[in-house]
Amino acid sequence: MTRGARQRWVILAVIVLAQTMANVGPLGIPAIASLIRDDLGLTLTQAGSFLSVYYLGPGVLLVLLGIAGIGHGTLNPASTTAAMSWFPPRQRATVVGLKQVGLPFGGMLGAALMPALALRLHWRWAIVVGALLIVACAVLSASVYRDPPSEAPLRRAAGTRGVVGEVLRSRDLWLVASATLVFAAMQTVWMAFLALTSRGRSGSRCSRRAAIWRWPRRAACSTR
Amino acid sequence: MAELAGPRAAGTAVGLGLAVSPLGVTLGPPVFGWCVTAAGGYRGPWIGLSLVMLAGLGLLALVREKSRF
Repeated sequence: MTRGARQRWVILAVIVLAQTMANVGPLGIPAIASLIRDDLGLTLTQAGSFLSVYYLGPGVLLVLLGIAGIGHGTLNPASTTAAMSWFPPRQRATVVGLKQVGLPFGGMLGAALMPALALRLHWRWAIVVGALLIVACAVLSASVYRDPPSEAPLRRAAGTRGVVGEVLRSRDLWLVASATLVFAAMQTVWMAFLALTSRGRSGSRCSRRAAIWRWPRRAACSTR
Repeated sequence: MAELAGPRAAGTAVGLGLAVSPLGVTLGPPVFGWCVTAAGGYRGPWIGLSLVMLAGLGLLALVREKSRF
């Protein structure tokens, strides 16, 4: 294996690791929601909404959500740029597909780790451990990642000037962005309303069809 | 989007997608819920949603993609 090929595999590992770790916390927290609810004495309605708003207030919560969004939001553009820079066009779709594996894998890892940590330590410490894992992964990524040799001079010469305008003026990018808006809306509507539709049709409190589609929310469904 | 923009603008293009798609996540469910209330049932809104998805696919059909292989 050539040095370049070896480096590409390292970059792919960094990309997948970053995508995985970034989702351990966000997707792991719902797994310990019942512990948080018991500890803070929240009702089901309160637990179903943003938990922290009851303790931090909406202003602080918005600021924290903004900070978390800036951190989490940079992940996809950065990892996609890395995939585009290091891999030839023929391999990019596969690399982006592998990158996306990190999302459910991070959720699996979070759902396995967070309850164990919360029961052993405390749910607050479980969240701290999740956050520290993300910070450690960010430091590791920053220290391991390098732009490919052929890409670095191009990036330095071009800088970022003009790129935003170029993207905003692109008809094709706006078409794809609009399509993602439609598909994201559809996905959310399916998740939110399919169970309700099934429930209305069967007349049962929590139909079998609804239970299949909403199995992660089975506990919430059974309490209705 | 990254492929359309090329390596130099890939991050910015993905950022554009990430900025636009949450609007659908935020607006989709309340609009659908309002449609269900207005229609008095789910049948019409589900059919409408499938037509919206077809419109989304139609948007993708208009994209001029260059062969990159």
